[in-house]
Amino acid sequence: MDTFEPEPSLRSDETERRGDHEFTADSNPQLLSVSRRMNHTNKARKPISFPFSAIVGQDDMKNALVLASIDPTIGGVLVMGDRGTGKSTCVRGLAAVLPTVAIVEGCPYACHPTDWDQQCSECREAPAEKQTVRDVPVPVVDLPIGATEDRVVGSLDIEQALLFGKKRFEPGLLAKANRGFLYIDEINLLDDHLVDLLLDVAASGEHVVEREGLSVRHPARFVLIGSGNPEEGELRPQLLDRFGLSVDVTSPTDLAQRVEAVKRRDAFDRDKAAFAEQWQADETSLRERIVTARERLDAVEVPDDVLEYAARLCLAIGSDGLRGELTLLRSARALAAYEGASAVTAEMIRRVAPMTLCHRLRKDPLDDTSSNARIARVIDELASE
Amino acid sequence: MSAASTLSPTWAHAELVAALVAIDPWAIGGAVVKTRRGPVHDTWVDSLCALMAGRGPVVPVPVSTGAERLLGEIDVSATLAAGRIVEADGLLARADRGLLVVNNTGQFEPPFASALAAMLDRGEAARAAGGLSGVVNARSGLIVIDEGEDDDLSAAHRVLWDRLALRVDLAGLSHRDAVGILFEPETIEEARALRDRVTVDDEVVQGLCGAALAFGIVSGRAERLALEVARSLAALSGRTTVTKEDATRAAQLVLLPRAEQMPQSQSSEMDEGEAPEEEEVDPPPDQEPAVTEDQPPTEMENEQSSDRAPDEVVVEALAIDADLAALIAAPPADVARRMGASADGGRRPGARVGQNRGKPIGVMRPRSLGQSRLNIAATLRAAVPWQRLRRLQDAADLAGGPAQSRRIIVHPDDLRISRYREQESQTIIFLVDASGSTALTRLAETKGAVELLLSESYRRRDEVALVSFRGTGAEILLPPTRSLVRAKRQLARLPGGGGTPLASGLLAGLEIGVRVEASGRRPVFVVMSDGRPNIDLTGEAHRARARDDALKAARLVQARGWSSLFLDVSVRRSERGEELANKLGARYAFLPRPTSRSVADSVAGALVSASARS
Repeated sequence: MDTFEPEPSLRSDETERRGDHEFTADSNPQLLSVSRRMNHTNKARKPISFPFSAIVGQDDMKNALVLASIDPTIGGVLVMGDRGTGKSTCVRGLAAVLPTVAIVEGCPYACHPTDWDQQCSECREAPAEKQTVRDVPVPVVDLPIGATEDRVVGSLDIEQALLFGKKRFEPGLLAKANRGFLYIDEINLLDDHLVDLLLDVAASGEHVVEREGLSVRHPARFVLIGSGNPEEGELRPQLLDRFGLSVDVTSPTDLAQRVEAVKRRDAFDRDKAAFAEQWQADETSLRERIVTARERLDAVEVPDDVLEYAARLCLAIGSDGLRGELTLLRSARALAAYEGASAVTAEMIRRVAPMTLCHRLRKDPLDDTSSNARIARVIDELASE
Repeated sequence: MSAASTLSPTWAHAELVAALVAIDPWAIGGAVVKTRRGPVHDTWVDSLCALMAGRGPVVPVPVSTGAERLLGEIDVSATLAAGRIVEADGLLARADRGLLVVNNTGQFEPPFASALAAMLDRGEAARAAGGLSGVVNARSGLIVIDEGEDDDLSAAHRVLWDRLALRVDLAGLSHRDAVGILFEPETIEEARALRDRVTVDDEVVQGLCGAALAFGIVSGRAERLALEVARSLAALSGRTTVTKEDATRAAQLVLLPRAEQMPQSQSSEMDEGEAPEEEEVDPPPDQEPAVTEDQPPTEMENEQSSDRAPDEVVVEALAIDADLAALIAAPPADVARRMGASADGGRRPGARVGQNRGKPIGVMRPRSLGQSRLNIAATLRAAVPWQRLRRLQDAADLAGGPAQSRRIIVHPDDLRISRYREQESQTIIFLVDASGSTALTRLAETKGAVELLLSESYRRRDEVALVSFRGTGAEILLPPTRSLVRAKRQLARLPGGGGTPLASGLLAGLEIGVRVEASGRRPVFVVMSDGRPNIDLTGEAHRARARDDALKAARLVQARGWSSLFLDVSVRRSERGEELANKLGARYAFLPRPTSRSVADSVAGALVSASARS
C-alpha cells in the first residue's frame, strides 16, 4: 500500500525550504525518513532550575540520582514520598549539574558522534566528515501522565504526509530522552502498559516502532526516573523491582533544615540567576566529581570477599533473582568511583543495600516493619555471624 | 479596608483572599472556594475579576474540560482549511499571568490535575497527547470553585489542593452578606508594584516553619506559600517588610487549614504567655472510646508527641504564641470542622451522612465523557494515506482541477472517536457493624482484611472503602482508596461499641457507592453484621423500626444492582441474616469468627464471581 511514495520533485524543493535533513534514500525505498522537526511549537526556553547542590537534606534521593548518572546501567530510580518534598526539583536539578553530551547535530535521537553502537541507522551511514558535533545539555524529558502512546513511541508525521505525501516518522518522547533522563511524576497514576513499555525500552536501550505502516529502530538509552506519592496508590510489584534504585523521601522534621530549605527556595524565586551564580562553585565541583567517577568506574575492583558478602546479603534478605544482586554491585561500584576508592568494600555494599534492595522484598501487608528496617536487621545479623 | 458594622467576617475573609490572589496569582497558587452557584458565588467572582483588572485574564475552565483543552489541541476547522496541522491555544496559555477558574463538581482526571500542578510548580507543563508534543509555558493562578459536598479528596484533588495557598468557605453565606468588593482595584495595583520589594527577615521564616511543624504539616509547600502570602499581606498594607502580624495572619490563612494536629501543650505555654483570657479552649473533639493500635500514624506525629521542641521554637522565634493560641482557641468554623476530622487520625464526614438520612440519595451528575468525542489526530492519520488517491478521484469526478488539492479529503470512514476504556476496577465498600462488645476484634480483623485486599489487588487496581456503624449513626472510616499506606494511617484508630444502626450504615455505603459509580468504577458491597439492628434512622433505639428501616435501606441498595456480599457474623446462624442478604440481593456467607484471612477470601471469592458475571 504505497499510496504515498514521495514524489521526487516535491520532496527536494520542499525539504530544502524547510531546512530539514532528508534521509529517504532513493536506493532503499524501505528506509523511512524521519522528521527532524520535534516540538515544532513552544520551543522550550530552558528555565534555570534550582541548583542540585542547594537542595537541603534528602541525601538518599540525591545519592541515588548521582549513582544512577555515574552508571546508567544501574537502571532507573524510583522516588516515592509525600507531596512537597522536592522530588521533582531534585530530578531537574540533577540534569543541570551533569556534563553536557556531544551529539550529532540535527539528529533527532541526539546520537553519539563516534560510538557506532549507540547510533541510529542514518548516523551510521552518514560520512563522519559531514557530521557536525555539538555539545548540548543532558536531556530531561517530562512524560506527563496523560501522555498517549503515539506521543511516547513516535508516530507517522501527519503534516508531512498531508503536505508532501511523505511517509515520515515523527519521533516520540523515547527518542527525545535518548542519552538523558525520562522523568515521570506520579508514575503510580500512569497506565501500567506504558510503564511496562518504558521499562522494556530502558532495559534494552533500543526502541523498535512498528505502527501505522512504519518500521523504525532507534537508540533510546535513558535513565527512567519515576516519582510518586504512595498515598495515591502503589506501583505493581512487578514494576517495582525493575527499577534499579528506590528511595523514600519525607519532609525534614528538623526545624533548622526546613527553615534553610524555605530560605534557599525563596532566594531562588526572587532572583534565579543570582542564586544559581552563588551555587556555581558547588555545582561545578559536583560535576567534576561525577565526571571523574565515570572515568574511573571501569577500573574499580570488586574483591571476591565483597562479592561473596553481597551474595550472602541478598540471600539473607530474600530478594528474588539476580537483578538485585547485580544492581547492588553496580551501585556499590559507582559509589566507590564517586568516593575515589579503587575497590568496593563491604561497607559500601551496606550503604547502598537499602536503596537497591528495599523494593525487591516480598511485602507482608500485615507486617508494618519497613523494608529498610528489615535490611538493617539482616545486615546486623550477618555482622554478628 | 472599610467595613460596615454588619460586615460578615466570612465575607471579609473571602474578599481578603480575592485581594491576595489578585496581587500575585502565580506566587500563591490560588484558592479553593467552597460554594454553590448562586448570587454569593457570582458576587465573589465579580469582585475577583474587578481586582484582576490590570494583571491578567480570568479564564473560566468549563466543567468536563480535559487535559488536552488545557494544553492546547489541534484546531479542527483551521487544520482542515489549511491542510496542515494548526494548533489552537489551550486554556493555560490563554490565562498566562492571569487566573484560571475551575468549577469542580465531581472528579478531576489525573492528567488534568497534573498539568495544572506542573504549571503551578514551574510555569510550564509538558504535553504528549492529542497529536501534539512539547511544553506549554504559563504562569497563572488557579481558583477551584468546589461545589462538592464532601471533604474526601481524590488523589487528583490533593495534588492541587497542596499547591493552592488559600481557602474560603462561602457555603454559609446569604446573598445579603455578599456585599461586594471591599478593596479598591487601585490598592491592589499599588500592592502589586510594592510586592517585589517586600523583604522578609529570618525570624518570620523561622516562625512559619516552626508553625508548620507544630501543625504537623508534611508538605514543604505549605510554609513557602505562607511566606508568599505574608509578602502579599505586607504589600497590601503598603509596607515593604513582613511584620510578625503579617506572618501570623499568613499562618492563619495558609497553615491552619492544613493542620494535621494541634500543637501540643499549648495551655502550659500560655500560662506563661500574656493571653490569659484565651483559656476557653474547647476540649478536644470526639472523645470516643477508641482502640489505638500500636503503630504510630507517621514519623511526624510521633516526633510531635514525644518532643515539644518545635512548639517552643515557634514561641521563641516569633512570639506568636498568643495569636496562635487565640487561633487555636477559636478557629474559623470551616477549620474547626476539619480539625475535628483530622485531629484524631482520620477524616470523618460522618455527620454529613446524618443530614441525608431517610431520603433516597440524589443522583450524581453523569460524566460527560460518555459522549463520544472526535479524535482529530487519529482521524487525520486515518485519512492521510488516501489523500492522493482521493484527490485523483475527485479530479476525475468533478474535473475540479487542483484548486482544492490542498484540502484534506476526509471520508466518514476515517472518523475516529476517543474510546474510553471501560474501568474494570472495583471499589469494595465494607460496611462493618461496630456495635456491641465484639466490635473491636471484628473491626481489627476487617482492617486486616482491607490491608490484605489492597496488597493483593495491585493488578486489578481495586479500591477499598470502610464504613462503620455504631451508636446512633454511621461514619466513613476510610474513603475509597487503593493505597495501603493511607489505609494503614487512617485505620490506626477504630472506635467501637453501642447500638446497631444498620440502616444508617447501609445508606452511608449507598452514598459512597453512588459516587464511586459516577466516577466510573464498580462498587462491591460487603456488609458485615449479625443482622440485628436496634437503632432506627432517626437514631432512636427501637428494634422493630430499626429492622424496618434496615430492610428498606437494603432494598435501595439492591435496586442499584451492585454485586454484594453479606457476611453474617452472628454466633448462631439465623434466618434474619439470610433475609437481609436476600433484600440486599447479596450473597450470604456465615462467618461466626471472622479473621482477616477469611474475610479477605470471602470478598475475593465474591469479586471473582462478580467479574465473571459482567
